[in-house]
Amino acid sequence: MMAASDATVFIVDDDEAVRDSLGLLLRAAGYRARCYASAKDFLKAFDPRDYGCIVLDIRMPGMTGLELQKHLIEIGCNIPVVFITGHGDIPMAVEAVRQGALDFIQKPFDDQELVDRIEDAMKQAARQREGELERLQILDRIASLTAREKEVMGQVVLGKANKVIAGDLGVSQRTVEIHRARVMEKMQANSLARLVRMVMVAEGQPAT
Amino acid sequence: MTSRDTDPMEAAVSGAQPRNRSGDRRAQHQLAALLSATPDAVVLIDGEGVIESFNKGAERIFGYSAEEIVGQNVARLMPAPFRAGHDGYIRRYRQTGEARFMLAPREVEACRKDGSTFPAEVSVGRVEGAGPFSFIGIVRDNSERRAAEARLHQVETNLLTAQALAHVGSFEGPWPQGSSYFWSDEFFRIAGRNPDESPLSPMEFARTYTHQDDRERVEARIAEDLRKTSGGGELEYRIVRLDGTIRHIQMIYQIVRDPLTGQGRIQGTVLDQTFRRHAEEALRRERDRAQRYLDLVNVMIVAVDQAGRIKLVNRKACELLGYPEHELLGKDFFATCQPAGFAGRSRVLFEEALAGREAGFGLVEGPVLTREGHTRRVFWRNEFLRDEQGRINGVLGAGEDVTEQRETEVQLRQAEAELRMIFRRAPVGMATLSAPHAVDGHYLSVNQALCAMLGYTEGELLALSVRDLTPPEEIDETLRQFRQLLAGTDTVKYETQFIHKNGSPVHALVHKSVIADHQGKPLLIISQILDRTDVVLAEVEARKQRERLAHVARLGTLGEMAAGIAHELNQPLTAIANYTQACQRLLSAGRIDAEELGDVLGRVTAQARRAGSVIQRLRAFVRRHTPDRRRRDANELIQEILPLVEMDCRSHEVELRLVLQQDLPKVQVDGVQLQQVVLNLTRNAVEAMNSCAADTRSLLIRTSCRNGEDVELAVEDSGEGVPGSFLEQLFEPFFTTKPEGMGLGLSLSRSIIEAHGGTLRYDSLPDGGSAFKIWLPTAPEDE
Repeated sequence: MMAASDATVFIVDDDEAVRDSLGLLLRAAGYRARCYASAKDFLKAFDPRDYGCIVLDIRMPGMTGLELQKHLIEIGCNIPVVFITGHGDIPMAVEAVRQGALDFIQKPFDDQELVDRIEDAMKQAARQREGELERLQILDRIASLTAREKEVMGQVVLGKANKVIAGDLGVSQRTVEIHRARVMEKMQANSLARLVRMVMVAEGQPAT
Repeated sequence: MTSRDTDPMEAAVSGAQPRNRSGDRRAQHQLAALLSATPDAVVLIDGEGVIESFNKGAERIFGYSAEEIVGQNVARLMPAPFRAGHDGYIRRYRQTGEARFMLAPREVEACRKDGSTFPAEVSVGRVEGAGPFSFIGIVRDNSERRAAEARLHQVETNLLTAQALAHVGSFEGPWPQGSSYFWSDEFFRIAGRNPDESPLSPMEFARTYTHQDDRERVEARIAEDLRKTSGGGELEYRIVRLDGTIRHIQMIYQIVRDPLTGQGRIQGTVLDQTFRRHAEEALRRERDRAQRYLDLVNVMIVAVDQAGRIKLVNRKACELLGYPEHELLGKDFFATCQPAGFAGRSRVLFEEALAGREAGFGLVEGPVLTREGHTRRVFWRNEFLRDEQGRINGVLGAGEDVTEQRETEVQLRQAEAELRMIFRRAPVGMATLSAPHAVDGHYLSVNQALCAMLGYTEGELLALSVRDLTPPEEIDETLRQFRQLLAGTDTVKYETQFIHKNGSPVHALVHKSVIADHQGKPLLIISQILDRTDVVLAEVEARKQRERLAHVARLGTLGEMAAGIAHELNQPLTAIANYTQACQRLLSAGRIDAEELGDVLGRVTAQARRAGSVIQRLRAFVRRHTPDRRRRDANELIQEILPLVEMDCRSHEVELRLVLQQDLPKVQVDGVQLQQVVLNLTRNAVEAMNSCAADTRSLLIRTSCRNGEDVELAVEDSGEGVPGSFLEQLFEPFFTTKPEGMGLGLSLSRSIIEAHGGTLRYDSLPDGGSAFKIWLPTAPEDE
């Protein structure tokens, strides 16, 4: 059940006791845990390539948990977030999930429930890390395409027929067919659907 | 002059013979008679200086008889030093005709038979006619004249000295005008005129020196004198010297006019009277002053001799007794001025005192009888009068009319009696205390109302002290008021309690005033005690009502803050759960040792305490409490409720700022009530900002000292402020803008603050937010 050894739980909570006890609990559960007293402290120490998940207090002075979550999305960081909320913060928690938070747990919480949520988050992190590796591979493959091939790929993934593409680009249909075959080969795509998914991954859109 | 007197005789001697020979005989007889009658010495000598004839006068003057001296040299008549030279003179005259002292009378020294010398005036002539030279000498004894002259000189010297000493100057000269006036030295001195300058005529003097106030009078006199041929008189006036000083002079003068020539002369004396005038004036002033004092002094002054006869009375005494002064002088004081019944005893007292047997005579009070028959009471201060030898020869009494004063005293006694009556029957409690012993607290007197109020009889109350009647907690304040009163405050007013005989408290409003003696020393303290038990109980009831309401309001406030409170409790509970679950995991995995476990359990305990303290604070805030006003520091009170405010702010994402002024003066408040008001205001502020963006919500709690008098606690928010249309009702009960609000918060807050003598007001802030300000009066300093 242990996640990859470099996975870390980042705890962000302004209440020192809650932060400290969470740290202890998660370390007891076998995670690496790092604690931050505010969103600002966290951002200062955090590298977007860090691997793991965030346990985030939803209500904090200064930058709140929700604001931190929004900020991370804006900078293209999709590290999984588990919110911890107090009584009466449910509407906020719902808003957080709508923004893409993995889940929320209410204080005080059962440790197993917490560990389960962390585990979910870590799995997602792992998945994301895998996805990220795939994306890098795809980006490498895209980089090997010629400009014309990229152009043709852009049209192909829109579902356009070769004839239409040839008309749009002002080349012969035959030429389009040749470029298309080269693209499929370079991208190692055995189907059009596969190619479309790759392009979506490359553009950072969640893969289905 | 005497020299001229000899002329006829010489003429007769020298001229008779040649003119009338036929009459020689007759002439010789005449000459002989003349020679023997004349008082002068007539001596004839021949050309050798031998005396031929020596008349009677010569015999008398020189002491020689004619027989003795005739035939002798005339030098015998001269003192020895001159004798030798005389023959030489005669010889030279015979040879040269040069006469050294012929014809002109000349004074020489002559020698009598007895050898004494005397001043002699000698005229020598040559006898004309046949025969050898002969001379006639006429000798006059000048001794007396010289003596007279010496005496005159002496007298004149004395006169001048006397003039100088008596400040008398003299003057002499033509009248009315002329030149060469004479002024004596003293006149120069009196006029302050330089003696080197020429004297002035009397008229010039008057014109130059007369004081302007006297000028008219002096000029009138001069005009009068000019009309008369002769006259004189005396004139006193002032002159102004050149140096500006003023002298009083008396001028006595005489004008004499020659009836034939019309030529007049004036002579006179000038006396400087300035010192005398000053002395006189001083004396008169002193006399006037004494008289005026006697007249003005507002006491009767009567002096009597040993027989009791009046020797002196002043105006006041005359007025009081109703007699003119002359009717009293010489009268028997006792018989005239005292009522019959009193006079006898009074006289006995007087006589005993004169005899030295009555010591209490100095101060006596008794009646006097006026001329109209009225009686006045007079308080006498008597002094013995003594003659030069110190023997008592009378009594001087200074008497003060005390009639009205005595009547006033009687009235005063009546007024006192009335006052005492009022005191006894007054519907408010009254008591007096001796000011010097006020701190002992024993009443000098108490009235019936006070007895009724406290349930004691008068006797019981007088036996008790204020300390016995005052609850222990009120004694310090009572003593403080006493001290303030004795320190010079006229009146003090304070609320206190007494203990009724049955043990129940009596709430009272006490007025205390000091009655001071004429020197301002506190004599008596008068205490008015108003029973306010009913009022106080009503107030207490009202306060209880307010407190009940406040309690409900506090509960309501906490209800509104439930979310924040839950959060505040949730935090430690969460931490505790985390710690314990962590321990369980570590224990089951065998990954924790005892030391680590102990450490974690410590943290669990701390969090449990933290949760407890939240609950404690809540309980302290919502519990019912008896109002308890004390000197409190507003900053401390705010710090105590700060966790509640913070929790509220946290749960509403409001930034909280504090600006607390250090060293604030203390305020006299019920802490919980003030905290309730502040919390109510912060609650309102937090709610008011609900609709604002989270990052603009800010709440400021500020304390400061206003004008050094009031303490200000302000709660300011960054909300949108109170709409103008709500302002008037803002503090009205049941006015609210909150859907669930009762509308009691601000109304109750204001009534709480006003019950503390303070003010609760609303101000809008420039940037649109609200400021609620509490102004509280500074608590009096602790003693």
